[in-house]
Amino acid sequence: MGELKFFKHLKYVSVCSLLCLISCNKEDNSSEENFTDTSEFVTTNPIALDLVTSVNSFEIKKKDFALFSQQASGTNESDMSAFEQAYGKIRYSDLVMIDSTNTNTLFPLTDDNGVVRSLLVGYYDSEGIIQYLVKEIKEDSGVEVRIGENERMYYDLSDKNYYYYEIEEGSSNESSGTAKSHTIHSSSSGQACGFVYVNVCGTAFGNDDEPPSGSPDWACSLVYDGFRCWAVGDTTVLDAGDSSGGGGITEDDGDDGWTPVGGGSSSNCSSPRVYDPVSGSCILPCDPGFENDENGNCVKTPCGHLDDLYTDAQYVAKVNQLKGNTGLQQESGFSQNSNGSFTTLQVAPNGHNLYIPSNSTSMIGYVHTHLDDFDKVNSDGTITTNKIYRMFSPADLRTFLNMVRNASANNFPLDKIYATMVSSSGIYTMRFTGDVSSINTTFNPRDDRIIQRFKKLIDRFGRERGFLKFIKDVTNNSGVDLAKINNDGTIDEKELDDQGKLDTNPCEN
Amino acid sequence: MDGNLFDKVRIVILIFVVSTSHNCKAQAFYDDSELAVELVANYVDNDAGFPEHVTYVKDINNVLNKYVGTWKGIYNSKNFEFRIVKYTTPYIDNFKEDILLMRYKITNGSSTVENTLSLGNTNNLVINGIRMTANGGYILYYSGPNSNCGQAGDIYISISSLGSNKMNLLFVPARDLLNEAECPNDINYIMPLDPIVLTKQ
Repeated sequence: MGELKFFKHLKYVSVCSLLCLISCNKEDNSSEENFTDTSEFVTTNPIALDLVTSVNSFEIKKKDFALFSQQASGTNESDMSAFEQAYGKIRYSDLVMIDSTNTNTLFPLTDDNGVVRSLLVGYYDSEGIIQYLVKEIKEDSGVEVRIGENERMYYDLSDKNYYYYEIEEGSSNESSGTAKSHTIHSSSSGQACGFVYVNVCGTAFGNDDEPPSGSPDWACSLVYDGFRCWAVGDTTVLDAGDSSGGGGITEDDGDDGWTPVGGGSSSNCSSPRVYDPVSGSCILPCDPGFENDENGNCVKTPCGHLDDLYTDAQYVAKVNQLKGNTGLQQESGFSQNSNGSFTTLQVAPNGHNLYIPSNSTSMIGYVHTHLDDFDKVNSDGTITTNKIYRMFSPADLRTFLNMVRNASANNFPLDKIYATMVSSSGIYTMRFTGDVSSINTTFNPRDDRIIQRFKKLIDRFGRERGFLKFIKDVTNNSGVDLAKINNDGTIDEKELDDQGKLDTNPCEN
Repeated sequence: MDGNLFDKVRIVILIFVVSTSHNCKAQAFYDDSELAVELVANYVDNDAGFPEHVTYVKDINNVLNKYVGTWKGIYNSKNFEFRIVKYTTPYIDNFKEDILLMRYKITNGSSTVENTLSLGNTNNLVINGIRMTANGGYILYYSGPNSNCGQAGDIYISISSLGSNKMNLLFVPARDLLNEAECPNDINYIMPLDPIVLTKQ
């Protein structure tokens, strides 16, 4: 009965995700020629063969799970059912993770909702007999199984991928940045950093457990998944089997279990650099307002740059001057040149717009006002209040993005480029931290449809969230950082979270 | 006596029917994904944003109808004709609303300055409604053929205190940043730069 269930469940394959995963990493695979053809991992893996009576290009039959069930809980169906209840079922057994030596195999066990509850690990014991362990997933992030002295398998709950990797103890070359093999370098005995490879195998079966005719339904690929670090953590193993195995899996004892974050050692870093377990490299300790770049050096954070701007005496003087102009019926402002000087923005010939000067290629910033609401008298003597959007306008955004592009073309540091809007509802600044080549300025900032969507987003979501949504959803731009300077001088960074909600992050002084 | 009793019974029945129909009406109109157009200003004026579940700003109480029609007026010897219709936008950004669309024809003697009367709803020369104001007025956004160089701005309309067949119209030109290199010359505003009054036709 239980066997039949397993057999039925064998048909499910996330072919789409499999292909996606493989295609997404195609470029990486191409540089890892040794690992592109991995079909042999499946067909020759004896543990996979133990679970599968026959394997060929188009057919896989699963053997009964007597060994597995006996090892785990018993031999009869009720024991099997209890086991499934406790640890889950093999629902995605077509996503079998197999190590490069063909001696160890992982099967995810899932509950009825498809959530992975445990990992079933097949390995050889000291007498050469295939044994199975069950490891229950308890950590939030995922679970790792130690499958040999220097080998690990890991199921990551966040990305739902499996990782296999080897550890080369004692190497300090953890940040070399080149992937020569699937070897993982370790910077100390307590942690490992290296290049992670995912061996993904899959097949597709119809309801009758037969593959669609003519399709290559079983395939594996060893996929390079980038550089990662792993540090000693606290894992718990629920072992339902013999763990005395020889060449294969060794049981985690809880002390040398591995989790993907935490820990660290600076023993291999030259002072004043210290080891950073998150990046897996030696970095300089940074003061507040600074952060590490990709080389571990300290560079200013966006908050640090804003702090520089808001404490610049010339800039502050201009802002303070403009604070007194918000009650006018004409915007006013200044542009700042790359030599640091400020120039008053002139009113355009039409008498209403503010001119950004034509020689603006050397402009690194501008600061200008948005007005308070002001009244106009109608023909019948009644009053109409002119409602002002006290947030950067689409024209302000486009001007800023053009300025960033010009600065980039002239090799001027982009972290110096800014736009500021002074209003009675707050002082806001834009900076750019994105990819200049992806900047889009093709929109007409006064076009009817653009303005309608801009105003509607502000109306619906408020000025900060609405403007950020406008940047992202209407102009298709990214990398524009928005910050607000509060009346007490503190600075808040404003951004959208993954759900499109407003995130306000205070800058630390 | 019998007649009085009959009248009382009839009154009771009438009250019951009115009460029941009122309840039905109230229930039928309650939909928290909808927001009445006249309530929008409550959320916008204090920068609160709409309630998260609102996906349709609707003219539930037909308060926009008073603006619908053809309105004419004269400014600087030019004849202005505005035709206003009510329009439900398609879903954009998971949101739709009932707005006013305004087309116009401006003539100077026998010559036509601008005529958008025959343009389709999605043409960007057709003036789009933005929202009602707190006092029952209405804001639209106008962008002319030369909008890239500033020929654009807000248009405020409101029914005049002189009567429901009179309408105030106020154009407030856009005041944002303009690139001097892109727009070195002055532009010609064709909308009236002073408040005008229009008469319903």
